Amino acid sequence: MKIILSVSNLLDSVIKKIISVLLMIMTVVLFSQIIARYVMGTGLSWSEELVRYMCVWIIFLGATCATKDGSQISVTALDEMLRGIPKKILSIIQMIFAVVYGVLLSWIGFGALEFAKFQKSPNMGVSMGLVYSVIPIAMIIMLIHLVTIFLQKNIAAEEAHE
Amino acid sequence: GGGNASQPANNNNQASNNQPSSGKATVIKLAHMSPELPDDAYHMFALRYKEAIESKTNGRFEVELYPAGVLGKDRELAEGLQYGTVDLAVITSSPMGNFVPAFQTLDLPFLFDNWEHVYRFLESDAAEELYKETESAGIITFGLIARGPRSVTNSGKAIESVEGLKGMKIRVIESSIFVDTFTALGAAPQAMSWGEVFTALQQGTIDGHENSIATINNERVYEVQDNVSLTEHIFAFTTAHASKMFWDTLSAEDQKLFKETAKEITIQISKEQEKAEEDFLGRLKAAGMNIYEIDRAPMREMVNSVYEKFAKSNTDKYFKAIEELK
Amino acid sequence: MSTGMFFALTGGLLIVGVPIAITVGLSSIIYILAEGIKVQIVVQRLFAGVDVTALLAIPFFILAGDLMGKGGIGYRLVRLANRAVGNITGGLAIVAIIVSMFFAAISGSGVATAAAIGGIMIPGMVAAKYDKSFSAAVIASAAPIGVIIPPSISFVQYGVLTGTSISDLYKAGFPAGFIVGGALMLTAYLISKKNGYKGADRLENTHAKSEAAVAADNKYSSKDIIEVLWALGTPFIIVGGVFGGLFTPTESAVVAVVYALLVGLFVFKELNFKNLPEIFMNSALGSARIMFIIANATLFSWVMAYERIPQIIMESMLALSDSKFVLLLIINFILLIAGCFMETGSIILIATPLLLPIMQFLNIDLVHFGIIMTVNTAIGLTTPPFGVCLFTTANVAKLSVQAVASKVWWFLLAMIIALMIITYVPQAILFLV
Ligand code: NA
Ligand code: NA
Repeated sequence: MKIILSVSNLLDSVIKKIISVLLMIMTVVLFSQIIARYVMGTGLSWSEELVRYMCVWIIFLGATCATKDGSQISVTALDEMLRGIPKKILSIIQMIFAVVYGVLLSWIGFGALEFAKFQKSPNMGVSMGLVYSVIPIAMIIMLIHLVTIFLQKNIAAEEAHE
Repeated sequence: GGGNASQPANNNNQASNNQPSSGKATVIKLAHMSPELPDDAYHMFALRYKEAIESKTNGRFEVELYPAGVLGKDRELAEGLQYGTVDLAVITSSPMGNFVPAFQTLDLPFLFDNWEHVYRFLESDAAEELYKETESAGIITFGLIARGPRSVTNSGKAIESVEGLKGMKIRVIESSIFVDTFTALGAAPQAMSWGEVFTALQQGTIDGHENSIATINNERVYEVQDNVSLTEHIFAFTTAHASKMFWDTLSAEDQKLFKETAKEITIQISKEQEKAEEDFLGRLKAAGMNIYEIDRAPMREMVNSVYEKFAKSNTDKYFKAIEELK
Repeated sequence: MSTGMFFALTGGLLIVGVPIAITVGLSSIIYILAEGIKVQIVVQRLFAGVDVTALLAIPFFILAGDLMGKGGIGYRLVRLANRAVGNITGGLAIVAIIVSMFFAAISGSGVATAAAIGGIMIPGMVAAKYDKSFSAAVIASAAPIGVIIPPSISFVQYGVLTGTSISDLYKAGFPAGFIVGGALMLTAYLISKKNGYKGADRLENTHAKSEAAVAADNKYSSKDIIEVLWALGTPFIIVGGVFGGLFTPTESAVVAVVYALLVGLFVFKELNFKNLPEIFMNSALGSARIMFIIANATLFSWVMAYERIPQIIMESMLALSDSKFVLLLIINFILLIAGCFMETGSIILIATPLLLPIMQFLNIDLVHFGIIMTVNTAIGLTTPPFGVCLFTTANVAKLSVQAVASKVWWFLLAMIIALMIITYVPQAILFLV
């Protein structure tokens, strides 16, 4: 339990740093592109693609952080209505669906890499397999967070029981 | 009545959807990303291929059309062919270069002298060999549709010679050959996604853009640009494909039928595109655009660097074959 | 798996409280597996849905909004607005609508607008004693107007699909946007009147370092005026830069980020290099929450397109009547429902060719119909259960989706009335064409 909790926490703090840095790089690259157009009269073929791919990485990696802190956008009407055991059951149901999503998507994601690895991105010429890999990676991290949350909740509940 | 200019085709696909399917027909999906316009090469192929296949197979196959990019854009449709989510697709040749590098040859600037040269290539063994290259990527290539040379549009002062391109912010497609070509010609190429181009041309964020004459007309670029300069720098091609997964389910006779029918239609449409070019230029003039002839000879010299860079990273087999057909 | 089961599954997951992104993503994946469609497409659609240049406006405008908020620009702009219209009933709400319209017109993105303006105006309105859910609902309903007021990618898509002049669509888009905006302002005024929402004499400070500025809220010193000018630089740069042809709408977001950063760091000195990483992280996370939904919604849209669900539904609905009045009503209804489940671009691409023959049969002006389509898709950005502008404002206001949804109904009603005016009184929008 302690190990998975510390793995989950470490991953979360590393990912948060990564997405902040990605957003900083995106800002610098696109601003340089505007400057380059006026000052140097040139255009770059790869900048927009790089920034788009970075944005996609932020989205999927960021989704793992939102899972960890429970801040994914959802309709919480039923949560607010229920109390006690039913509320707990509801949260378990929600978690089960999230786990199913994570398992299916990491399985599908790894499968899709087989197709994508030979394809090159249009401008930078990087392997699309590398670009797409964020999806299975993010799903694995998301599953680690979900398992951690599940264990934390139940162990906390047991301890409270004792 | 409001809408002027050309009216779109009367959704043939919709009509056939209303027909009760015989139950035995194998439904196949044909996708492309162009608008459903009667003069659009992509949609023309889709409509004619659907009709030909359905009638030649006596309704054993039903072809469903997915135009306008509803199933994805060019690169994504090529992936769809690999996955087998689309059975047939009509896509721009340039993105195919990311799956099969040899396809990038077709994007080389000033590669083809004229339409005759293009036809000689389309009927050559080299073209057939090029098509076979895609099989290893899980994609069957039926043939190329020649859409015509790409030219430059701008507003304000017209580009009447290559010197006129100097420092011009020209939007090009997101491809390094295009960027390198326009850099070599002295322009300031801007790789920008198509969604932003109309507004950018209107507000003057970019000075101009480059496209085939048909696309300049179909995408209504004349609403925001004054001039077309016939630089004819790169020839535009569209390719017709089948998914290898779908292909392998066909009998040998059906494979022959699918391939030959497609080939016939691609050549037919290419020839019509050549004729239509005059018509499109006429329409652009009628919409208020000025057309400028431009001397291409000095430009071919200026892009030597593009060829050198290309030779370092790609096969020169097809380039040589095309040169020999001059 | 039947279409009915597909929608029931989606609705079920949504009600149970499964995150919205996972709801639409998981039900699509299950459908794809059940139908035996090749699953690799899932990864591609999730990716393609957000690998879009225009969507880059979202993270950058969220970041710009955050930097403006924390760097003191937001506070000075809200203070100015409060000073100008604070004693008018619903004044700040009306300002919020006007600012959203302006900003949305340029960014072209309802989501980016909701994020950037919401981040500044909602705290300002709350400080002036407006109800928080009401404030969020104002932004959620005003932000989508950006797709109606030019420039608008929707008009370019529609114009190319139908052979209609894009310039004419632009000329009709302005009055249509103002009709919808006007309806929202009237609604905001009436609700504010009923609840006694007015600006405050003194704005409660929402920003720690501006304590001194707040004390002098009723007076503007020459220093304050210079600061306000710096703050006004942001909208000026965005609007001027795009219309002056210096940069594209997406690029304007990046310029706004850099400007807000420089002013916050070196002019107002309310930002420092220590708190920047956290601001970037929060903006990245906020963007991820919203765009993860967009990615999954693209997969959902793809399933619908692949299975021709919109076509089947439309064809059966349109068979119900051949009266022009009724058909227009049905079409508006279908498009509004489509807006609940699909994103703007997909609706235009799929519905336009399907409805076009009917429009020609009914002899409806194609410019008019383009506006009807676009207004419908705009409203769809706010309608529950699936409205990305609704989710975005809930996210920036730190409210639950249903809290914002509960206050958005009156505004939706106003937008639908505006839509009916646009539908049945074409002269109201076509007079410039
Ligand atoms: Na707009
Ligand atoms: Na909606």
